[in-house]
Amino acid sequence: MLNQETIDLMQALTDINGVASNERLVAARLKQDYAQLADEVIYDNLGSIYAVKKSQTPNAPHVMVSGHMDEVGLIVTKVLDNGLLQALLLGDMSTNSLLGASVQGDFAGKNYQGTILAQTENNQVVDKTNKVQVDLGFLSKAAVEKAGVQLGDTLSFATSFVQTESGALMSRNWNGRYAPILGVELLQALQNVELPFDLYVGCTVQEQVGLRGIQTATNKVAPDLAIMLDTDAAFDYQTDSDDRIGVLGDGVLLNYYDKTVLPNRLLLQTFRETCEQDQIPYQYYYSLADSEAGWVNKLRTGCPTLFVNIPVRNMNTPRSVIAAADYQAAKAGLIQFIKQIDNDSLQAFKAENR
Amino acid sequence: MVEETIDIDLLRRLSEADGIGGREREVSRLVHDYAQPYVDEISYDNLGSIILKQNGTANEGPKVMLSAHMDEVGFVVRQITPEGYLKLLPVGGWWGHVMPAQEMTVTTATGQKYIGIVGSRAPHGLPDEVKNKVMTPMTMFLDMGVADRQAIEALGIRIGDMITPYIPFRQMNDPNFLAGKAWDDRFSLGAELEVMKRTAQKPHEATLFFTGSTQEEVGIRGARTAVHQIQPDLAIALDVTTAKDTPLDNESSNRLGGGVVLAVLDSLTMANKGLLYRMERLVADLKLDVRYDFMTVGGTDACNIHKAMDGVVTMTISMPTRYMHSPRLMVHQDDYKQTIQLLTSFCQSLSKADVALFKEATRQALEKTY
Repeated sequence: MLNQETIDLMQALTDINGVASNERLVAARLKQDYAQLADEVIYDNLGSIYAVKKSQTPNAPHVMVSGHMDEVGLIVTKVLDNGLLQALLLGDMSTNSLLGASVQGDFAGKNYQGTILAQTENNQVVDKTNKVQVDLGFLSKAAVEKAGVQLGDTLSFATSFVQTESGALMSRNWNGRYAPILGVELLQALQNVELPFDLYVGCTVQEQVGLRGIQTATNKVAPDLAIMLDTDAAFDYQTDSDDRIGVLGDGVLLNYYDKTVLPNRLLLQTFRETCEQDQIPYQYYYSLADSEAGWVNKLRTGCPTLFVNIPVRNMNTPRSVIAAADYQAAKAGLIQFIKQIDNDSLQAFKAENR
Repeated sequence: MVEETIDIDLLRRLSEADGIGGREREVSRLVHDYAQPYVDEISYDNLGSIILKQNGTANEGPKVMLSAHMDEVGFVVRQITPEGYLKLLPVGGWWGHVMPAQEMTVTTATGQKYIGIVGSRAPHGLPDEVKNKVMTPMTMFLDMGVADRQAIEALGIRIGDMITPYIPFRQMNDPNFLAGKAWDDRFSLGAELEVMKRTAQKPHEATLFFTGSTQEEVGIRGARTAVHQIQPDLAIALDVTTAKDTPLDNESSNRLGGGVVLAVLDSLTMANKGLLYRMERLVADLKLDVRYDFMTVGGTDACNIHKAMDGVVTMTISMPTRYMHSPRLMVHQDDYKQTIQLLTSFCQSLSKADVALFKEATRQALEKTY
C-alpha cells in the first residue's frame, strides 16, 4: 500500500541515531529535505528545526505541523575499570525490554555495537538511580578511552527498520520518527499548492526527557494553529486493558483527550468530517499520558491544537510496531485537512469556545 | 458590615450552566451578556477565556486582572457500549465515593441535553471486599435509560461529549446557605461580576480586567493564556477553598459565613506581602470578618499568573465551600457579600503608586503601612 519512496524515507530516518539531546543527525538529514521543499529553514536555540513554506499573502497567519524527532536511549555517565559503561536511561522505557537489548553508539566517527547487561545475579537491569550497565566489548577503561567515548555521549537501540513479509512496519523509534517522516511527505504533497497561511513543518528536540523543545519551538514559530504528529500507545493486545483503543489498522487516531491538552472541539469535528468525506479510516482515542500538544496549546495567548496521531505497539522498546494502513490514513487525512483550511477557519478554531 | 444586595438569580444561572474544561462557552456567553452594560470592551484569548475590560481614569493607571475560572469538574463520554451505557472519562478531579446514583447531563456538540443516572450496585449480599472499596470513576457508567447503542446514536450523543452533574440550584432552609453544583468556581465568578457592577458606578484610576478563565481544573491553562493577553501589573485570583466546619472535620477554620478569606499561600503560589497587608487594612476599614488560608494541597489561577512574563503582583482571595468536587456544594451569602465589598473597595482605590509599593514590598524590609 505504501509506495517505495515512503518506505525508503522511513528506512533512512528511522535508522539514524537521535537520542534526546543528540538529535543533530536527524536534523541534518531533515535540513536537506526541507531545503528542497520549502522557502526557508529555521531553528530554535535548542535544536528544533522547521521548514517554512511561505504564503503569497503578506503577514499571513502561521500554521505549525510539528512532532518530536528524539528517540529514547542511554547517556554515558561513567566508564568502569573493566571496560563496561554505566549509562542513564533517557526517556520512559519499559525495563522489561532492556536485558540483552542491542545498543549502538557513534564515537570518533566509528559505530560501536553492544548490549545491556544485568547488574545483579538475579538479572536486575536498572538500578535505583535509573542507570544500566552497557557492554560495548571493551575489556578495559583504557580501551574505552582510546576509542574516544566521552561522558555524555548517547547510545540508541541498535535494531533497524524492517517491513515484514506480512506488511507491518517495525522500528525502534516510531515514537520519534513518525513526525519527521510524515512532515517531509506533507511538504512533498504540498509542493505545488499555494496556501493562504505560512506553513511551518518541523520537529522538536528533547521530548522524551520532559517536553522541552516544543516550548522553545512554539515561541519561535508563534503559531495560530498547531497540528501535532505523535504516536500513542496501542491497547489492542494486552490481556488486562479496560478499553480496547488504538487498534492497529483501524486508522488515524481521533484523540479527544490527553492529560495535558483538551484538543479544540471544532478542529476535531472538522478533521473527522475530512476523514469521512474522503473515506479515510479513523478511530476515537484518549490518552492518560502527557504530550507536546499541552505546551503549544497553552503558551502565549493560546493556540488551537489538533493531534494527527497513529497507534504503536511496544512503544519505546527496541522494536515497536505500526500498521501501514494507519500511517496511510494519517497522511491522507493530514494533507487533505491542510488543503481545505483557510484563514477564516483559523479564526473559527480560535473562537470555538466563545 | 453594610448590607449588600446581590443578584441571587445570577448565582442560580452560573451554577446551573454546564461547562467543563475546554467546553466553557455556555458560561462565557452568560457572562458576556450579563457584563455588556457595565464594561468598555469584551475580548477572549485563544482558549476561550473571556476578558471584560473597564477603563480607568488615569492614562498610565495600573492594569488589574481579576480571575475566576469558568470550568467545573465533569466528564466526557469515553465509550458507548453495545447495550447503550456511556463509560465516563473524568475531566478534573473526582472521587468515586460521590458519584454513584447521581443524575448527570450529557451535552452534545449541538447543545442537546439528556439526563442519565450513574449506575450503582445493590448492597444485597455484596461481599465486604466489594462493599468497603470505593469504585473508581473509570469503572462507572451513565445509564441513559435506552435499549442499545443505536438509541444513543439516534440522540446525537458521540464519544467526547460533555457530562456534568444535573443539580438544580437551591436556597437552603436558612436562605443564606446556597446549594448547587459548580460553586468551584462559579461562586467566585458571580462575586467578580458583582464587583464589576459596582466599579462601573463611579470612576476608578485602575483599568480593570474581569476574567473568566478556562481549564483551571485540568492544569490552570486558561489563566496562563489570559494573562499574556492582558499583561497586567497586578492580579487577584478568586477561588473557593475547603470548608472544614462539618462533622467530617469539626474544625472552625474556614466555616461558612465567617467572612473574607485571605490566602497567604497555597501549594503553588505565595501572596505578595504588600498586597496582603493592603487587603488587611481594607478589611479593618470596612469592618469585615477575616480568616487566613494556607492550602497546602492544590492551587489557583494565581499560580500561572504570578510567574508570567517578568512577574505579576498577585494573591488569591477565597471563599469556603463544602463538598468541593462533588455534584452538590454548599456556600454562604455572607462570605460572598463581604468578598464583594472588599474587592470593590480595592479596585476603586488602587493607584499606580500602590502597585509600585507592592513591588517594593518584595525588595526591602517591610513596614506595615500598606
